[in-house]
Amino acid sequence: MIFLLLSFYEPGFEPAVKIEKKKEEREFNEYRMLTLSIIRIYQVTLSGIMGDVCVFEPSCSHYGYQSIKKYGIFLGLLMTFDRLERCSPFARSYYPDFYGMVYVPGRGYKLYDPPEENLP
Amino acid sequence: MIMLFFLTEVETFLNPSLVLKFAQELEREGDTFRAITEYKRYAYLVPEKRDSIYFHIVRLYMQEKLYPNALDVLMKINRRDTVWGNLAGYLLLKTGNHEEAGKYLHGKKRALFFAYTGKYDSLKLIIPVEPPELKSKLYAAFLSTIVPGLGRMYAGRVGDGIFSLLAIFGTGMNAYYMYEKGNKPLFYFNVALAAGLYLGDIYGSWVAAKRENEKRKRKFIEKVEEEVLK
Repeated sequence: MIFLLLSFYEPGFEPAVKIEKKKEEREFNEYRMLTLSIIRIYQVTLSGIMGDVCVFEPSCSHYGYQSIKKYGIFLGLLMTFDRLERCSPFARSYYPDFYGMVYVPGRGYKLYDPPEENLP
Repeated sequence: MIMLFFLTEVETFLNPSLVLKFAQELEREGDTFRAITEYKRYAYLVPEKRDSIYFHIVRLYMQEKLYPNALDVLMKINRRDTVWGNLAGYLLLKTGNHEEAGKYLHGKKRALFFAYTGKYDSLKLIIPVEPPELKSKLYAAFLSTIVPGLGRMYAGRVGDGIFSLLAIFGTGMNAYYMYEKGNKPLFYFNVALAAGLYLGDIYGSWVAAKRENEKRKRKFIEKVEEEVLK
């Protein structure tokens, strides 16, 4: 549980001038938190057992985590499901037209596909 | 000793013809960035040739695809003619200032502005090229609504389409199998997964069509650039 809570902690300095956050950012969204927790639990348990099977960078779980965190639960989940369907051996055939290639230390060469490139 | 060396050799260091020769040598070797530094030194030493040297620096930056740097140098040139205008327009297009570029481009080069901004009817008046055939995002999403994966195939990603179809069909079949077995939790899990994949596929088809269009536009612009800049 402590590990799970710590996983949401993002280190950083406190800004000198406090910027007022937007209303939707201030609100605590329990569904978003629940989905992000499920992804985190998957990352610390099942992901390690399965090994490195994803052809993309960021990996599908990180992609899902980032997209839900950035774009909210609805769009984030749609993007995650879309990515899960694209994560197949066929993906490499779309290089270099749709994806770039990056070297990730410890994972080798992966197709670069950040959430920002798959917005509607 | 070192001071004495510099005082005696200072004329060699600041000899414009030697500086230019050295810059050309660096350029020939492929050391572009150091060559640019030396060209700038030459432009400083020989102010009357500043504009022509700056044009050359712009060309070197363009070779390295450093368009913002090229634009910065170009703006320092005092000469303001058609050549300068076309180059400024081209660099503005490359740096994303499409509307601004329209003010600078003249003649045949104006075709680039129309290609970048998607004004294909005006482009046709300058160069006889067929505009790119774009995929409909809405139609792709509609196809995926009817048959999962079909929208992706329409958008040009056949492999992704087949995989999506298999994934949705597989989870759907699994849900049915669990229902037959009476395993309610796994039935609901599979139904939720299949529904998510189905919606994700519709969304993915939309994005695939969008990205395919981007690719086609990019290739079309390259073709127009080849035609205009040859």
